[in-house]
Amino acid sequence: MAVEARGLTKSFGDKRAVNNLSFTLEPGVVTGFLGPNGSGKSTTMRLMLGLDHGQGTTTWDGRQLSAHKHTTQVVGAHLDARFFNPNRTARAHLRMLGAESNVPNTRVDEVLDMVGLSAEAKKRPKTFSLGMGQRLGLAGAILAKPKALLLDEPANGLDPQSIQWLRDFLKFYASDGNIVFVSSHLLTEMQHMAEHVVVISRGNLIADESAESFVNRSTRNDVLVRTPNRSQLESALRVAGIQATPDGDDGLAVAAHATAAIGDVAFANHIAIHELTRRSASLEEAFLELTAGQQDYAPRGGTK
Amino acid sequence: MIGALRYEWRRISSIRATWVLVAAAVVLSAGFALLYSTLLGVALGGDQSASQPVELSMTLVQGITQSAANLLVLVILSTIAAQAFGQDYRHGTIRVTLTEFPDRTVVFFSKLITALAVITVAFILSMVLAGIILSAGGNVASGNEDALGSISRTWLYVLGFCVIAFALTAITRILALGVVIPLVIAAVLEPLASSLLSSYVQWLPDALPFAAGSSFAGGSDVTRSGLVFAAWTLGTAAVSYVMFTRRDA
Repeated sequence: MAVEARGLTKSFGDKRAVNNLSFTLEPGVVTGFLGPNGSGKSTTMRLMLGLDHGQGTTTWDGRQLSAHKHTTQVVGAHLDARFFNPNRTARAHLRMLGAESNVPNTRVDEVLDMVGLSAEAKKRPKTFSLGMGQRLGLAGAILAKPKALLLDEPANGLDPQSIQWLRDFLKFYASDGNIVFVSSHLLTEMQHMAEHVVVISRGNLIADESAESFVNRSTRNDVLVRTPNRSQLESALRVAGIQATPDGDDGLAVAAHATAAIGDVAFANHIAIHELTRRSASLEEAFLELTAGQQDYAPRGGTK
Repeated sequence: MIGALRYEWRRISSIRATWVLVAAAVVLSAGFALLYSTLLGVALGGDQSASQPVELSMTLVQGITQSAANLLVLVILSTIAAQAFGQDYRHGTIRVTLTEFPDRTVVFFSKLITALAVITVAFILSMVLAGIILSAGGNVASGNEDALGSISRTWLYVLGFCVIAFALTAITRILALGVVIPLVIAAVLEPLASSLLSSYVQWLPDALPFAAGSSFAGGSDVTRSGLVFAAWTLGTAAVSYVMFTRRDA
């Protein structure tokens, strides 16, 4: 199954929240959905699910969501950790969600156990922490074993152990041939989880590519060279057509060049090298660089 | 549709408030039946063969319908209807519901059917209990009216009242407004409008929704009042359906 979003567009008054977004979600990998606050991630997910009205279409296995007989077996969505009635027990909440596909009670108990809420099954979730609410939401999303998961900030409020569990679980779920589409502000976690990223900013598509190629687009990918003869090496590199800039006391930063070429230039000019390190941007650095200045809700004023 | 009805039944039945409201409606109508029975007993001075004062006379069917469709009981039953959308919007679960059932027509009617089924059961229980109490009291005349017709009209009035509360909640997305607006209109605005404006606009009292509804239930000018009440009920329901299907969740 593939999920194809085409021309998703949504305006609130004069403000264009989502602008002609098109992307395809493939099974087998976790796809991260990244964007600054207010960039339209949640609105996009709601458009995909038909919760908000706008332009564009989303097809699930080639068909509209409403054309499928059992929607819950197509997509499981978790959009907010507080979308439950606080007076309905966790188990009753899941039994209600399972009604569409007539999910047996044994499966309800199974997913409660899977997310670590077995002991809370008969409790009303009004006393649940944010993390427990996330677990209950995730349990609801996976209840009918859907082929696609749509999760909006599922790691918010989770402790480190739970985040690690979530990461492993989502990778496992995707590896089973399912689609996992997950938005998160925790970019370090996303780097460990997502093999593919869809990045938006102010409702516009910035990237739809593998996480690796997205990171490689950053100018922060360079090579650090430490040498006792910095000016000599800088000149030699310039002659060879390689631009380098000073970095620290005895280092040079060489943008996006193979370490072998730098080593060859140094060797040919009899220049000693103490360090030759390829520096790769993190997903967070690449994201910040490529979305710089595109935050709608950037804090003003800085720290001293 | 079956899955949506099953979902809605599990939704409504897994909340304690539903059963509390059903019990409250039944107990309250039983209380009214007891009150009528006691008042009639007192008025008759224990002498059931004496001719009853006209203003306190009541047949068994009248006693049952007035107990089960008292305004207070109606408010409780309409709260069950208002909860169909009210709880979903209050807790954000409408988005969970609409993710499972993208066809909003199915969601609208599954909520309506389930709520009205529960209200009907509560209404029947209320009537049976009121009937037992009033019969046991022995202070009501058996009467010779069309019992089935009278009870059917009262049931339709109760359902119409609840549909209006259901629709107003879907329109406002606020449970409290869905319950309070019909109550205020029925108990305050309509009597006020009738007394103040009827001399200027003579047709006005006949066009008011709940006045027409209670006339219909009471068997007065059944066709006209029934059509007026039905028009208001269906009109409000139609507006709420259109808004529900066209607005963002």
